[in-house]
Amino acid sequence: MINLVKNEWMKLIHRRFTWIAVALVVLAAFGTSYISNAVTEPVAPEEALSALEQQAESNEMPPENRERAEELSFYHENTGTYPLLESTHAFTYVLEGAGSLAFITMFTVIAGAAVTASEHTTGTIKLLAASPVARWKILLSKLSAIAAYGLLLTIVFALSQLGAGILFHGFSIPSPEVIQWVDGMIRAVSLPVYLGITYGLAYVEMMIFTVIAFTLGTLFKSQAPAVAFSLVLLFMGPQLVFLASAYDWAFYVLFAHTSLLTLFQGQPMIDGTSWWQSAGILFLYVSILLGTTFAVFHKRDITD
Amino acid sequence: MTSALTVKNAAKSFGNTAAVQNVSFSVESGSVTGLLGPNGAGKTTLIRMITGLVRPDSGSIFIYDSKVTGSSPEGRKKIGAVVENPEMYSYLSGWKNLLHFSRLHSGVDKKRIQEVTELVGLSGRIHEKAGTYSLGMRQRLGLAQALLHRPSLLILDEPTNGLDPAGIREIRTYLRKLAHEENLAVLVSSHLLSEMELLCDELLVIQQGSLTHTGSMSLFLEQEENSMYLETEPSPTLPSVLEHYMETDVIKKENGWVFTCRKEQVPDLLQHLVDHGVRVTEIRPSRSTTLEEKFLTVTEGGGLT
Repeated sequence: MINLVKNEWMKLIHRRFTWIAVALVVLAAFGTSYISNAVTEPVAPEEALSALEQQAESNEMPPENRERAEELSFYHENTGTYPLLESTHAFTYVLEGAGSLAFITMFTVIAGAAVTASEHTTGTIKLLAASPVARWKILLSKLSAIAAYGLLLTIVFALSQLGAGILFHGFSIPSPEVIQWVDGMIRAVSLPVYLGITYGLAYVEMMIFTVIAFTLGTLFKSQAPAVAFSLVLLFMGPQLVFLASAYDWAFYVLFAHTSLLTLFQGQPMIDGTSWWQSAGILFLYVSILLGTTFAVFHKRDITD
Repeated sequence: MTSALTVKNAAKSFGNTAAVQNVSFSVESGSVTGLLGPNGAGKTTLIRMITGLVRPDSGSIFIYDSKVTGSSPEGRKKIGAVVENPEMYSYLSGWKNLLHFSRLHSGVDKKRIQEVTELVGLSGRIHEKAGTYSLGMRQRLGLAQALLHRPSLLILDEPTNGLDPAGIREIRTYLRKLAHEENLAVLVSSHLLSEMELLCDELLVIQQGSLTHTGSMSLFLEQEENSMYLETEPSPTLPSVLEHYMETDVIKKENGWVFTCRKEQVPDLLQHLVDHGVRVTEIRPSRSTTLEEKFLTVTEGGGLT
């Protein structure tokens, strides 16, 4: 199995597209950080804290916002730290970056749609299918290589964002923890763990769309329609759920649960969704997609 | 002794089209077997079934003792195959293509890859991208892939396609050596019919999905040597008279008839024809001495029409 994944990885890294995607990811990370730096006034950590204190004392604020500001500023003063999410520093861009992973999803969708489809197009699928390797192993190795590629792009993106932050604002860590007000409570998560969770969740979301592309690419034996369809779902899916949110069945639509980051921030697509519900529904959809793909590929007559 | 390859009553349809119908044959170690047939006769479908790419609708295929079904890999370990075209990743070098293939099998090390590269004569350009290879070089790389894991059954679709005459001879000599000295079973399909004549020990002829001839190549050629051409004045009774007497296929050709008949049988045949009132104008050995013509005779042969 390791050998098969090595093979898929070798094929991946010898294609020009793979590296163009990496270059675009680096470029995008630095580019968006540069623009963001140019158009927004930097907020020093001390300023961010005093802004919170002002909000806490302002009578014009709605009571829940005042409570939030009070609790946050109280927490920061007690721990001697500054708010990370509201101020400008080395980690500013990487902290926001997880939300922009849809951009990378485009590349993993293209790679995922191509990984089986291109073997059918070039006829090399015969080499794989006529070998003594079981067909499910062929598919699994392909999926693993694509998952690794997605991980590589995610890490490159996060490191580039951090690099841009250090470049524009110098290196400093105003607080070892990310302090947030979620569901009427203070949530304190250490900085590396916060980054791990947000990028991890964004990665899972990315993989779900990649699995859709992988499924369609394998079933259609053709890359282009698989890419097109997956990207339409990626960008239209949440809209669809939004439009259908008045109906009960909207809860069971895959895209009501793909946006795991918003769930983490306490604002799920559909109010009251729990982690278990989202995880269960995602698991169900992914099982159906992959189950179908593996079953069809297993039974397929290779006639290309 | 178990045959290297045994095909029993294999059949496959795509939709309503029967690609292969009830085909049975075996391929033995130590010999080169040719699979001959016009386009669309079912050669490739047959090869795809043997290599596990396509599942037979019915019947069974064995590589030695292991059954080959669509997804049972056991038998496929012993097969080295090029199906239809030598397939490769054009963006990888020849070497990396072989490395890729070696990882699909067990027990192939770098030394073996080197060895096979030299064997097929690709050493000079093995590190160039396969996309830059000529058809002949692709054939060599395909052969290298098929040989890499030391298979005991070698299946090649049109292996000499795209090679120059020297290359064809080289491959032919090598395949015969593999079969006769290293005891491999070799199954070759080809449209180069004269090539088959020089390459194969056994011959299978397939047309419209069914085998129409199985047997040794020498027997096939011997029949060919004894082929006679007969021309007569128009005679409505001739076909039945001839066919009844000869008990072999009689085929209409040009203005006369072609059939198998040894030289010493000719006087009796003529006597017989005269007795039945057939007026013979010409009888001579048939000019179709190449396998190509024989092939056309066999595959077009609707018999007497």
